[in-house]
Order: sequence, then C-alpha cells, then structure tokens
Amino acid sequence: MHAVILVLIEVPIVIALSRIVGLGCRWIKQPLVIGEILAGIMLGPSLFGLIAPDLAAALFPAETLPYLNVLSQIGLIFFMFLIGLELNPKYLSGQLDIAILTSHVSILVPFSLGTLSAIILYPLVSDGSVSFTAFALFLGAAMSITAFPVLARIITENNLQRSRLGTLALTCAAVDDVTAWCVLAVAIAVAKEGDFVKAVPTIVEAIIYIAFMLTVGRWLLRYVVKLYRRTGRLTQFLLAWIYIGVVVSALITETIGIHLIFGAFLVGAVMPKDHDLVREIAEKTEDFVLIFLLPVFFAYSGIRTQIGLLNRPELWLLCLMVLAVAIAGKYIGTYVAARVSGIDKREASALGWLMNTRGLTELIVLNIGLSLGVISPLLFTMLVIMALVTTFMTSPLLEWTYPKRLIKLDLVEPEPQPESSAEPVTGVYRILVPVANPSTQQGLLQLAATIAGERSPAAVVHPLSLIEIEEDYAFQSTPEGADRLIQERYQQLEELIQTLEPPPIRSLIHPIVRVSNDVARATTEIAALDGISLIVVGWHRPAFSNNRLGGRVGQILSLAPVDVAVYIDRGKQSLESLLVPYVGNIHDDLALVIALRLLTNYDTAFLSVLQVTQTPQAQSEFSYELRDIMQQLPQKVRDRVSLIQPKEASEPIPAVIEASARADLTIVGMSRAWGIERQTLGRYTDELAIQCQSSLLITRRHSQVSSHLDVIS
Amino acid sequence: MKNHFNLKSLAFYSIAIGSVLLLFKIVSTYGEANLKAQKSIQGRYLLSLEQNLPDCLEFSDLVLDLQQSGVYLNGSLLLAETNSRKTRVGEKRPTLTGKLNDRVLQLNGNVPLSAICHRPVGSAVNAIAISSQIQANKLVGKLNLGKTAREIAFTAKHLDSGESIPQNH
Repeated sequence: MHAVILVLIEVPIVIALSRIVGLGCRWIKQPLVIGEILAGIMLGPSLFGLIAPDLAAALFPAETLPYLNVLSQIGLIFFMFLIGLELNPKYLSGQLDIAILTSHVSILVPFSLGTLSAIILYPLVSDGSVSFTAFALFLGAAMSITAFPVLARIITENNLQRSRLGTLALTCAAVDDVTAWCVLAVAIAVAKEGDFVKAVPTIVEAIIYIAFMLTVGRWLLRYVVKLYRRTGRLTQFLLAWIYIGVVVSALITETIGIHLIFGAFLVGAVMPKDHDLVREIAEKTEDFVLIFLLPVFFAYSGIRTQIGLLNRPELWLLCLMVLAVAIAGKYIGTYVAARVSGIDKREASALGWLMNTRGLTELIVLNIGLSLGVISPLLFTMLVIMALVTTFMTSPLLEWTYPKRLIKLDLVEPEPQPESSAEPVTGVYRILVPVANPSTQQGLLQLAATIAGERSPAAVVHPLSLIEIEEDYAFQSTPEGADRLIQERYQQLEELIQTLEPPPIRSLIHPIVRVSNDVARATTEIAALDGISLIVVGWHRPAFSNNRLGGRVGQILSLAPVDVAVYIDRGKQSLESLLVPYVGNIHDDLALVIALRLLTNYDTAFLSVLQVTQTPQAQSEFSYELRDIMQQLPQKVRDRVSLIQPKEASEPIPAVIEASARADLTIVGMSRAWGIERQTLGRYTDELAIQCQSSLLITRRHSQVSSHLDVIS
Repeated sequence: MKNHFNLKSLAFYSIAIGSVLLLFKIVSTYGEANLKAQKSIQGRYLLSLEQNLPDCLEFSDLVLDLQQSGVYLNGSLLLAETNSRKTRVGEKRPTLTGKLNDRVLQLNGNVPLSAICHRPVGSAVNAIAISSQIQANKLVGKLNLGKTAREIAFTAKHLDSGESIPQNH
C-alpha cells in the first residue's frame, strides 16, 4: 500500500485513540496531555507492537515514519508559536522578586543534580558517539523543565489563577520556560558541535537573532497589529504572512544550529499582546494544530518509546533514580527558594509540586535529544516515564498539600461582586442556583430570590455559573482566556439580576463563577464548602432521553449533602397561589417548609395543603417537628394556610394535577406517590412532572427543615 | 521593577549561577577525562556462519540487528531477506537482550527456528546465546543454539544504513 494512504489510515486512528484516552484522563481529573502521551505510547512497540506485532508492523511500517515526522514537526512549530503567543508579560507582573528567585533556584538545583547523575548514567546508557559534556548538559536541561502550558491548564482548572499560589506558580513557570529554552538551545548547540568552545559561534548567532527579533521583529509585528486594527479583523492575507514569518523564523534558528521550535516560539513571544489579535490568531490556528497535528507528534514520540527496553531490575532502579532526581531537584529547589522568600510551608510545598509538571514540554525536549542522538532509546524511555509520572502526580499532590478550601482563602483579589454588601459570617441562609445559561433562567433565579426573601435577616442567593473548558491547550483555557470568559459570565449574570423584581431583592444576589469540567461535582463541592442551605436547580425535559431526573440534575440530587429543590418552570410570573400535596414523608416536610417561607416573605400569597392519603385508612398527618413549626408561625401566616381534601377514592397524582390548575406553584416532596422517586434501576417516572398544570418544585430533604425558617425567628 | 536587581539579589544570582557553572565545569572535566562510554556498535550485521544451523535443511544468511543504549543491547536475529524486506520500527520486539563490556558482547534470547531458517525441521523455539568480540568494524564470535553444546563460529560485517544485503539464493 502506498505510504501516503497508510499515513491517512494511521492519522484517524491516532486522533481517535488520543481523544478516547484523553477523555479517560479527564474522568480521573488528569490533564488531557497525559492521555495523549499514553495514547502515543500505546500505539508504539510498548503495547500495540507487543500484543499484535504483525498488525502493528502492517499499520505503522517504517516507511510511513518520515511522513509522520514531517507532520509532527509542522505541528510542533505551530504549537510552539502558540505557546510563545500565550506567554504574556502580564504573567510577569505578580511577585516578580519571589518568582525570579524561585524559578531560577528551581532550575539550578535539578540542573546540578541532573549533571551529577550523568556521572552514573553516562557510562551505562550512553555510547562513545556522544561527549560527556553534551550528555550532562542535556540531562541537566531535561531535569529542569517545567511545562508552562500544562501548568497553566492545571491552575485554570483548579480556579487558582486569582490565588497567590496560582499567580506565583504562573510567573515562576513563565520565567522557567524562557530560561529552560535558553539552556536547551545551548545544550543542542553543544551536542551538535561536540564541545562548548565549538558551540560558542552558534550561541552568539542565537543571541544576535533573539536581539533581532526583539527589535526589528517586534517592530514588524507592531505593523501587523496596526494593520489588524485598521481592518478590524484578521484576514487570511494577514494570517498567511504571519504563518510565513513563523516558518521562516523556524528555518533561521534551525540554520543557526539550535532547533526549529525556537524560531517559532520567538515569533509568538515577541508578538505584541493585543488581546483581540492574539485571540483571533490562536483560535484560527489552534484547532487544526491541537486536534490533528499534535496527536501525530505524540504518536511519533510514542512509537519511539519502548518500555520493553527496561527489561532488567537494574534498569528499573536506574529509572527510579532518574525519577527521584527529577522530582527531588525541582521540589527541593522550589521549596527552599520559596521559604527563603517568606512563603509559608504549605504554599511552598504546593509550589514545589506544581513546578514538577513537565508534560508536553519535556516530551518535546526528549524527542529533540533522541533525534540528535544525545540520549539513547533506553534513557529516552526512562525520561518519558519521568515526564508522565511528574505530570500525573501534580493534581493529586496539589490537592493533598493544599486543599481547595484553603486556597480559596488566599485569593489575591476578591471576585467581583455586584454589590459589596457585608455578609454576616454565620447564620446566613444561602441558596445556590446552578445557572447553565443566564439568558433562559430568569424564572429560576426569581423563584430562588423569592424563597430567600428580602425580609430574611441574612439571606443570600448565589447564582452559580460554571464554565466548562474542554481543551487543554486552547486559548480560552489559558488563565487569561478563562478570566475573560469569567468576566463575560459575570456581566451576563449581572444583566439577569437587574431583571429580578422587586428591585430591593437584587441586593441578595451574589454570583459565583468558576471553571469546572464537572458541573455536578463542582456544585456539590461548593454547596458543602460554602454552607449552602438549599440548592435550587432548574430542569428541562431532555430531548433524547426518558430519564427524567437524570443527567446533571440527577447527579446533584444523588451527591449534594444539602437540601435540593428541582424547579420545572411553566412560565407563571406570579407566586400568589401555592399548592403543597402532603403525603407525610420527610421530603414533603421540606416542601411545606419552603412554602411557609414563601408565605412569610409575601403577605399576599396563599397556601393550600392537599392532604393526600394513599390508602383510605391512612392519615397524612403533619410530623411532630412540622406541627411545632406551624404553631410558631405568626397568626397572619397561619391564616393563609388552608387544608384541602381530595375527592373520595381519587388517585393521588390525578388529584394533584387537578388541584394544580388553580395554583401558580406546586411544591412536592420527592416521593413514590408522585411518581418522582428514584427507582432501583436508576430510572424515574415523571407523570406529575409532565402533567402538572402549574410550575413545579420537587424537593429532596437532607437536613433539618427548621433551618429554612429563619425568617420567622 | 525597582527592587528586582538590587545588589543583594545580584550577588545571590552571581554566586548561585557561578557555583552551578563551576560544578558543571568540574563534573564535565571529570567526566571527559575519566568516564568512557562504550563504543557505538548499533546497526545491522550480516552474519557469515562457518556451518549450517542444526535442524535447518538449507543454509541461510542471517542478519543481527542491534539496538544499543550504552552497555545495554537488544537485538533481533532474522533471515537476511526478511530483514531487508521488513522494516525495523513497529515490527516484532527485539528477541535478544544482552550487554556490552569492553568490546565483548553477550546476547541471549529465544528465537523460533522458522525465523532464522528457510526450511526448518520442526517448529522448535531455540534458546540462542551469542558471544562475540568487536574487531574493527566486524563482530567475531560464536553462536550457541538450543540445548546442544554445539557452537557455530561466525564473523559479522557491519552493514551501512541503506546498504543492500548480498543475496546467495
């Protein structure tokens, strides 16, 4: 088969596998990059070649490798351009003193340890074609890497970009990145020339080219920005010139004797950071590069990774030594420097783990080393394992050393609040309202605000809007991009809040906007951390599923350790007439208490309690707790409660449906009687949810109902 | 930016970077002078056997494909024409492992007879041990096949990349 056809068969396999394994990693809260690296390794001799050698040889024969290499090099050039583009001087603004010290020490220590470990590794895993100096320099550089792009995603995903730790880690990683690329450039020059002295001309030429780019290159790119501002959009003509610039710059650095990637990185780095232009370039470039070309790079790298080469216990010991040197060097360097700079132990430790993230950047460096012959296939495999382990451990170790609840307290600047009224620390009645789309959930927020009520001594409604970021390297998932999305979402929520009536109630609303890829989990975490009293979540009939209360609403119902109410909006503006069908289970008690809270808040509202019995003999009496609550209610509230009985022998659900015709809002506890209880197989029946003629609020109780009645105390 | 480069931090950076450079200089001087890595022997070698393999009805040319990572060796022993037709990456994993010590290489592994013989008698998988010395661009040594104590002497010529294998058949 022709090699081009084979490559075209290989690429979809590579893309599909990297997406599938990437999804798996997302599921276990790991960065996508881990999945992509693993997918590449799986396609190589370490797994595919091991279990199906003939098929692997047929699908990935050597004649296709040059094609894959060309694709991966093009991908790498444009990926490095994107990384440079993303390197915003803004990241260098915070705590620069500490960051420069920490990042330099966090390079110097692992570099020194790497150099020392070369004494053990060189005679064992290198051959005479490589000089010791080049080997030691390269090993030192490989140990010193911190992957800025992966670290930036971990920080965004953990909502750390506004925390002291997050800004410090980002600044350190940005400084680290630039320094490590410089060390690598020197290492490549030395590896190519054999020793330092011969590499000096290359290094001098590289410095001249960097200076050229910082002056003339920047001047030319400013002209590009001017042109962009004049036309107001990024034309294909302009983008074509930018791409030509990237490739030409890559060629120049390759000719100088460093590597293609530096030229591409430089163009991105010196590009003036006009936000709109950068965003447009990134958005136009990143999809094809990240979806198509980068997985090919991972596959090409994975095919060269042979875990089978570690076939002796002594080699695994060497691998452990490499891992220990890499982790200890980065951790100790960062920790000590941070402590010297006055950072507390916990934060210094978290910073040490964050700086250990090596991910993709390490892989780029290792592939250069293997291609140049500076590192042998065996050492390449050990270092790939090291890159995987150090990236994999970052998120869990960060959570272990510095749990989210503590990071929250260290926000550098408070999140924007619509009106900064002072909230009492304790005894606040908080309602959390997950809002997926601010433009369609006015009814939901209005209901939550009405339940909170302006009469309550301390009631707050938190509309929670979560921003899902799917791509690891996409521009919108950079801290800067994510920040912009967060600000836009705050703006949308603010517009929504201004539509709520009566106007005084708007001051109760305090939105929360977070980055999260798991809405249900994030909602329940925030509910637990912020002492939420009630979650009110909206529900829309799913178009392609009969699992009525499934999906995210179902997950919140299962996971949330607080009371939950699910709202089905039928578009009724008024909340004058309330109906609570009462069977007598604990969830009904919550329904009744929420209705009483609404009555207490609004003097014109009336409540009808439909006492439904499931059997003729049974009496659906109020519980002791509820009777007690009723007695404490002021007379003017009790007067507006009426008990009604359904017609004889009437089934509960039709009785409620009939009564709901006269109500604005029906509040029911989750109960089998209403057909809205979770069944053993996880499916829900939903007759009431579909047929109820008023808006419907389904309650699921978790804690004491009295917590909802602070308004009467 | 006023405080970033004061005298104290400049002194610190000078000392820190200076000591790391000094350490690097000491280590690299020591390494260049005292540490010797093994000679690079990676590549394909065409084996000339002094006699035919046992249980093989037809004399076959063999190619030893060596992968080297320092002292650690991995290799595949294949029929010459299989090796020229098939490609190295993505195909079967190396079947032989071993070490290189002072120009002496030892390789061991299990190879099916069908992989190294055109007309094998039976389908046995043989334990193979190769011990050899590097002499100029050649390997000179012996090959032990199966449990028999029979040793077959060979010399192996290094094939340059892209060099075709002379066909005897």
